[in-house]
Amino acid sequence: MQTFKKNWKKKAAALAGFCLAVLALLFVYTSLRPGTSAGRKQVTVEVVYSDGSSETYRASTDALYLEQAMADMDGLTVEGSRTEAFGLMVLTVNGVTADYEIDGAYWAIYLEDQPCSYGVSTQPVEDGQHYRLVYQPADAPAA
Amino acid sequence: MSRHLALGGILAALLFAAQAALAFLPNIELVSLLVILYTLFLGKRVVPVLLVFALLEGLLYGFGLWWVSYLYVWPLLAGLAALFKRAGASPFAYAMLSGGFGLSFGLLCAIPYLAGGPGAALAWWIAGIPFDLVHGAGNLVLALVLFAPLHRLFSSVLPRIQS
Repeated sequence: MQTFKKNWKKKAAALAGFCLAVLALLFVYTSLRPGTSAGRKQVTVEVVYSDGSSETYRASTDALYLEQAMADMDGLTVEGSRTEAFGLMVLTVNGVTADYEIDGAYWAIYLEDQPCSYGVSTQPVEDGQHYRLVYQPADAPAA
Repeated sequence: MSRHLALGGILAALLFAAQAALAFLPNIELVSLLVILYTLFLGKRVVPVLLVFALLEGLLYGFGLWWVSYLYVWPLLAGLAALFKRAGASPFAYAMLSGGFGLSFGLLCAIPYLAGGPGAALAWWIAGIPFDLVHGAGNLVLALVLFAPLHRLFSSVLPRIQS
């Protein structure tokens, strides 16, 4: 009985430690992730296809995140799979699909020349930003 | 010797298959639990299995910067599992190890991104924290549910193959 109680206390302490680590990560995430900015913004998105050709789309938008900004761009269609936790994963741009499981390629998202750390649903947009959606074969070096 | 080599190959293939089978679920994986169990049964001989697994992952997904982290995160987990074994840890303790490993996975994998500067590595880690939370919770639950039955299975199968 005594051993059972001791074990139970150890398990409860370990679970409490796990929960504390979760809370610490949540705190870091909410404190340090880039914030959104309200107001009108000019945002451009350049789509670079597998053959290297490209098209550029522009929007004057109040969007906070890239997904909304792209939805405001005439002629640009972006589709994919969506999860509640992680938002939209881009699979098809203007009818061109890059599904890793099928095509061995993916749509890489760049802000200027830097790969974005966030998905389109959580990438905050700011005035004057230029994004690139690049058809990226998995075995090719980053654009 | 050849039996051990064949067993290592099979176990590496099993790791790879387990990863690929659950790849459609973001950061829900059985690899952590299997690495812990392999370590308990194979000891140091788990290291080549992990390196073959990393090689297979690179061949499938490409040898990007992320791949560098696979050379140390799985051996690190195996090392921790070996320490837990030495301390006579319970199945619950191994589940906590697996859960904690999931929570810290992004932080560990951010190290190669220091090549782009501390800011790049920090941004990469922070952006992945939601995935780490899912990873940690998934690892904890899977290990709580599957550690004991898989341990029993390995206990009955692996000694027979190794002897």
